[in-house]
Amino acid sequence: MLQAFLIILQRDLILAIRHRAELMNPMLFFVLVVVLFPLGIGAEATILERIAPGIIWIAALLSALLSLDRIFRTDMEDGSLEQMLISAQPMSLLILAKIIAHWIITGLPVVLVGPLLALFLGLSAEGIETLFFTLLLGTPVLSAIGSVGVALTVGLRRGGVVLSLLVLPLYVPVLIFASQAVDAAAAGFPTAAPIAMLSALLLLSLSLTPWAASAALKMSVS
Amino acid sequence: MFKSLPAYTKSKRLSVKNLAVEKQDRWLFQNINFDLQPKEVLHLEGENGSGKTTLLRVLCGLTIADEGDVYWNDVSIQKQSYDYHLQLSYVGHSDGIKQDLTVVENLRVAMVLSRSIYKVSDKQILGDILKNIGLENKEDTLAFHLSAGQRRRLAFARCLLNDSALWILDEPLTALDIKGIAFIEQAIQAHIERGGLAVITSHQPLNIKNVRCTRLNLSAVA
Amino acid sequence: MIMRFIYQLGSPPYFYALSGRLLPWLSGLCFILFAAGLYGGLVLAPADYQQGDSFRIIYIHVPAAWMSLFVYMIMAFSGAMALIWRIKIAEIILINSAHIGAVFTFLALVTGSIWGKPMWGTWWVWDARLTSELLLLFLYLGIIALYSAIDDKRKAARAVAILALVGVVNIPIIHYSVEWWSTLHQGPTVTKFDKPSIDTRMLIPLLLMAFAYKFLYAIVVLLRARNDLLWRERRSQWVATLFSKEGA
Repeated sequence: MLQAFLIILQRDLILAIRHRAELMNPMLFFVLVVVLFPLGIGAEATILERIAPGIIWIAALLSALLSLDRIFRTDMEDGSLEQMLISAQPMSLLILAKIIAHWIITGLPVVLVGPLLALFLGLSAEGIETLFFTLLLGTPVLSAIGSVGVALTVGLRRGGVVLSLLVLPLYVPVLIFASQAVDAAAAGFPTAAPIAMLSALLLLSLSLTPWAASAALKMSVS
Repeated sequence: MFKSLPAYTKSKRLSVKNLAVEKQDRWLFQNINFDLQPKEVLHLEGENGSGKTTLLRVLCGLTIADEGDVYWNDVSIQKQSYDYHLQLSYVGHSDGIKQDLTVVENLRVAMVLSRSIYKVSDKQILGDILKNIGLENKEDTLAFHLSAGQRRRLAFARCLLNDSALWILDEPLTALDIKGIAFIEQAIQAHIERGGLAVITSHQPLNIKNVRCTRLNLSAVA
Repeated sequence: MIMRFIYQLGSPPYFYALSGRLLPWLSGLCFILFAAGLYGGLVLAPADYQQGDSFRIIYIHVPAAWMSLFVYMIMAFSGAMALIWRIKIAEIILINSAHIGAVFTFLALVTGSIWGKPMWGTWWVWDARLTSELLLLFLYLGIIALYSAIDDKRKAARAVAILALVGVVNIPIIHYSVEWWSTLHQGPTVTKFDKPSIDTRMLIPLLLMAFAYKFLYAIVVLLRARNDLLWRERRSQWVATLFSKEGA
């Protein structure tokens, strides 16, 4: 079982590395969205500092949404997904490996770049530290919840808009707890409670979404 | 070629009772019954759109029939999906081969997914199989660079590595030259002689000697 | 015993016949409840000492908000039945509830907003309840969008069933997070439900209205389900005999 988990993880990472050009896109999109905010709102330092956590988290949400499709789309198209479904390994385990691979490919760059961008928006050092932790805990949740949405829409020709309609409302708790934590840290308040909630969301989503995604994929493939 | 492999130990009876599938509010097919013993081939015929591929997918457990059920050794495959999938290899329209993985990487993933009786680290068996399918010296070639015939053979290598008693093959002969067709026919013949079962759709006649081949025409049933 | 009843209910002709016999009774009860509830709420109940007569919108607003959650629960329950036992009727109830639930949610939002105008002096306040309700509306719309995006309607019903179950796990989380968010941002300024006790003359019409809404939902969902069922089964024997009997 562990072997199956590892080989799917390895497989997806190899595939991502062989498409290096695409690898950068979600992160570039993330940076671009963050840059748009000062241009749209104005470069007043106090306002930017105040809304920096929200900006960065909304950008992270959108960039995750943009890259979700790749969790299952190509595997659907070339028949790999069918092979996984009829394999002698539990599908939810394979999906968990794919979720984690997706996070490493698209989430981890955001975790690393996000704090840097926060610096440009003038967030305080405490805020940036907390932002890093919320991104670390929160972005895997985005991949996990997203996997269910993609599993439901992967068979559709125009699934993109439906996917965002399905997934974005489910992202709301992550957005709220994460930006709350950063807000609190920047204002000098304790952040233990929202961080604990984020951790709970992480554990809950990693343990439940593979099952839901597996059921959804069986539907999509049939 | 193929002679060296031992007989299957877990070959069982595949039977289907009163199978019916509905699509877009009409019956795709109804009242499908058959009983396939080890060392037998079932050749599915019928016009395009008569439901051949759907029937194969039902046999794989990828699609669930609206009526009737599929039995492996008289037990519904839904109730023993793990044991059944251990004994099943499926080569569908899309062959489940990743273009951006090398030949060996593709095979390794397949071995782990199917819980192959061989070890992933066993270079000997991989070498033997590659020799069998005529892809020696191609271990580290990306599947993208293989010809159609080579890729079909790679998909068949998956069946050999799985050591599965039941092969379900969707149009295995299309888009192949004479040599390619001969290879596939020999592979199926060797598989049957080892005590396996095969369900095949094909527009072309199958040239397999000394094997009981039942024909089922889906257009006639409808 | 219960299982046998569920299986029997799952048979389309039985469901069609039973719902046909129930509908007149449900309609009558629903009408009486609405009449009593509206009369009690709009005429008999005393005016609120703070809000005056404008509080009477609760007789439309509160039952709609209750229904918005209630219908989602029904959908999740039917979704589970559809997935586990593959009961066609459950699929039909599920998908035909989505539009009704969305309408109730929308009604709750609009009446909440209208109520907000005299209360807060503005049409919209980012209050926890209204925001949760708005997100719930998006969950409904997501379900409707997914259903209409999938051509094969049996597949679509299964997809929607999974989505409804995912949603039902998420609703408490979303609700909790939104409540958290609103208390941190604006403090507990919203006091519209802070009445320590509600006058019985106000409460009874509210309960009557709540039941009236439930009956209304039952009627509409049964009517829609019967229609949908006839269409899906239009090629089957029992629909043919049904219409040849009615034609004769």
